[in-house]
Amino acid sequence: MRRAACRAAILFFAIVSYEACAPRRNENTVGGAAKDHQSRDTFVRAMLGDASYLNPLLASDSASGDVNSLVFNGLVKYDRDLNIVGELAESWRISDGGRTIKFRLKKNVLWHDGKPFTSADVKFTYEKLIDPKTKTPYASDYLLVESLSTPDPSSVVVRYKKPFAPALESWGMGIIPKHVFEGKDINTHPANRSPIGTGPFKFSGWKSDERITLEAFDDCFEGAPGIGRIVFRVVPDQSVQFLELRNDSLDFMSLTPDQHNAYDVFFRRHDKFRYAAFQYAYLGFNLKRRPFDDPRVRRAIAHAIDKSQIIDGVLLGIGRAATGPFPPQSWAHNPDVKDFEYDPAKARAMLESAGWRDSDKDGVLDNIVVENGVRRKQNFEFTVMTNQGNKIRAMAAEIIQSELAAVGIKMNIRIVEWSTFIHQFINKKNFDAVILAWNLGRDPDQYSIWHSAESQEGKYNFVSYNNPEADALIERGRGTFDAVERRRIYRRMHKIIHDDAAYIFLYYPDSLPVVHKRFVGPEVAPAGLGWNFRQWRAAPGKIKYAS
Amino acid sequence: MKKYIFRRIIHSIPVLFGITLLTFFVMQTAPGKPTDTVEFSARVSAESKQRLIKLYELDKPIHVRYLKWLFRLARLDFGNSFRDDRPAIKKIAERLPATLLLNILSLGVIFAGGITLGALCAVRHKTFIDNFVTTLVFVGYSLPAFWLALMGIILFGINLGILPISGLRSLNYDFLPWWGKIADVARHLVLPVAITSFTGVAGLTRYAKSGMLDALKSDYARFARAKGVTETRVIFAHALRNALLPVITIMGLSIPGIIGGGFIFETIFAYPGMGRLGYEAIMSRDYPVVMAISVIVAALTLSGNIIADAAYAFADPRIRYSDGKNRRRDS
Repeated sequence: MRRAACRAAILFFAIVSYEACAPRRNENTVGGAAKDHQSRDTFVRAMLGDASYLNPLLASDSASGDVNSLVFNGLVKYDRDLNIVGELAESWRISDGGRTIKFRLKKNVLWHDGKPFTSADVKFTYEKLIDPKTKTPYASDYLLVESLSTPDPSSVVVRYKKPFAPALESWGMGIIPKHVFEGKDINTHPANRSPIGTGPFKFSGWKSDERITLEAFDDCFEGAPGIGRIVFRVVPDQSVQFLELRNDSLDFMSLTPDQHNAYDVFFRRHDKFRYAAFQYAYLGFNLKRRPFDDPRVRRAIAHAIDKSQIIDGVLLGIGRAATGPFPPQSWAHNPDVKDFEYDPAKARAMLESAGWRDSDKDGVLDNIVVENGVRRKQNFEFTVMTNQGNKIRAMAAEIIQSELAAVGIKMNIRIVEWSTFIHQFINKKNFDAVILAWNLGRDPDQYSIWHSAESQEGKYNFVSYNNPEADALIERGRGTFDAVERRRIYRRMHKIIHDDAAYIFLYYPDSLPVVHKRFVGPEVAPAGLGWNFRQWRAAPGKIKYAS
Repeated sequence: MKKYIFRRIIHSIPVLFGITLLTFFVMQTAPGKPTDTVEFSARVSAESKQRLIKLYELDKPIHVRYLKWLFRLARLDFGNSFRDDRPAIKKIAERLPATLLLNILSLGVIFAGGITLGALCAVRHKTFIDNFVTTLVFVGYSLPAFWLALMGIILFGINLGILPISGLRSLNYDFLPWWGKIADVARHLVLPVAITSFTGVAGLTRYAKSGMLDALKSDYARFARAKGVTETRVIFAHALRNALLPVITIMGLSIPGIIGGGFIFETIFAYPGMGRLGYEAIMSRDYPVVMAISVIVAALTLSGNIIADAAYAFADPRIRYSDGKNRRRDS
């Protein structure tokens, strides 16, 4: 009987692995083509989840974004120093007080299937972005466009209803090929799983939840890339990724702070990098709720929190204390803003001047509130919420809890699953305080986060921040193209938002990638690490996966 | 018998219907929306999210959505995933082979290992081997399996370097000959199969052992010995076959489980299976995928039950099913 079971198992094994092999023929030919470039290596990188759409208009997850950025190009991109430079655009001219942008496109650009790239593709991409039937989350920037015309195959003229400074950046959106998508439903098009782009790498294969493979596109307008093949491996657990790294079977991953601080012997074959991410974590207050409607209370809490405790204890020293909404590598960051210093005595004094004192000696501050004509005593107690699955935020909350307890504030912590958190609490403004983080664009326009017009239900100004001076600065910042003037505007805004303490800016985290030592080219710049990825190559004689 | 099965099938239709109704409403009343997991950043405006809600028809009342879903299901259309707009059924079909492979293998290991160890313990009752195996089984049952998985990866993957760490195929899989491919997948499967079956073996050993102990002490075993049958024949031909009856029941119950998958194992071993698909679909409120999985699992469980009941009649002559008419006459 056991033998029969054994035979059955082998049979099943054979059947299933045969099925698994079925799509191989197709890929083998691609592998054969790669033989012409034996001098180039394969780059194996990990990702935590599978991609969704390999279409830059539809995808909003970071895994898809990582792949799309290598397959597609925008009209413009950021260079190593975060200047906007042309990618598919040769040059551009802004006229009419910022209302018109005229792009001159590069002429030698080919799609991966050999067809030439023209202005019709740009127009098509724009039309799909504003088409209400397209499942894109990025429509809003393009709905500000009044008209887009293509006088000839290599020029595009975009007119805006009013001057919009982030417009140029928005044309970094990946351009999709008209000849592939035309006349078919973009949401369900098969090319969303086998994309055709103009970028340095062309799509080669995708095994769901296992890996995505890209091949070098040697006819790329920017020249052939130095790496022959890229494999994105789905490894959903970060500690297993780290084990793979120790086993030398990954060339790239992002580390957690404790992995970054692990024994050097684990990194014999990899180089560690560290640079500030375009991100900040914050403690945000619901300004519509007492007592957080009082800026004195918010500033007092800021004085009671020792950010260095969070950075040393939770981030293991990898990160910087934050002072405002712009990270230090951004030109909008105001280095002159002096943070609220950690001073519990001062915090207590400030709270007392706002009416909060411990009159009943129970260790918690209290105040007399008048509600519907009834006077009653209220303790200073509130609940901070954060999302489940982020250990760093939960630990930061615990540190803040103990620091606030020291000045007599009782803070409770509630951790809620992400979708419930957003839907029930953030969107409905049903919270006292939250710990969250913002991923930022390179452009400092943060209209949707800080402008008072964006504080309705379901929008991003869920703390209900409302400062007419900040509103005016945000609007002027959006409408100004002059770099010096814009810098002045945003540095002023950095200071105002810091002083209002609607958020207590906790820290700017660092990105902690590792790259295998055999690759030459990785270099940290203001733009991060991957800005020159096209030029990375294996050092001579160090090629590992020549196929 | 045929009538009995037919009646069971007819009866299971309203059950299946009820399951879909329940799953649909539980899933929809869970707080949150599919659009909540769309990137939470300043690039994605609230208006764009409203647009997505319209396109996914989430602004329609819940009963309308259920009826629409039901009409589509009648045409065997499970709808498209909200995550990547691909047919939900296709996403399931992609992961099914890998899941079946892992689960059938580990089920095989569980039954082979559990029955062998259990019988061994019963035959060598209260000897060193019995004590040793019982202790091992007890330890195996108590260890958290995810910890065991990580320890296995560190020992065999990193320290000894003889097995791959995660995944189902090596990077050079596509360039291997057919036997190399089988060997490659087999090497990747050793750890997942061993770890997923570990606690199962531990549990089954105890069932098999107690069944075998009863059988060895039974009258027919004693009679066989008295007849002069060799002990080997008593154990394998007489006792073991009877001891296996309760084990078959357990096997019947575990059959629907072979299309399910363990989320934790699949995450640790980066295994492309059903567990991760289902978990991620629930977390991102991908209703079409959740519904498709639950309909398929429910249908399989129901048919598994019918098959198991029918199989009893063949396995054990003492069990007979009435076809309804007889029952009325008897009472």
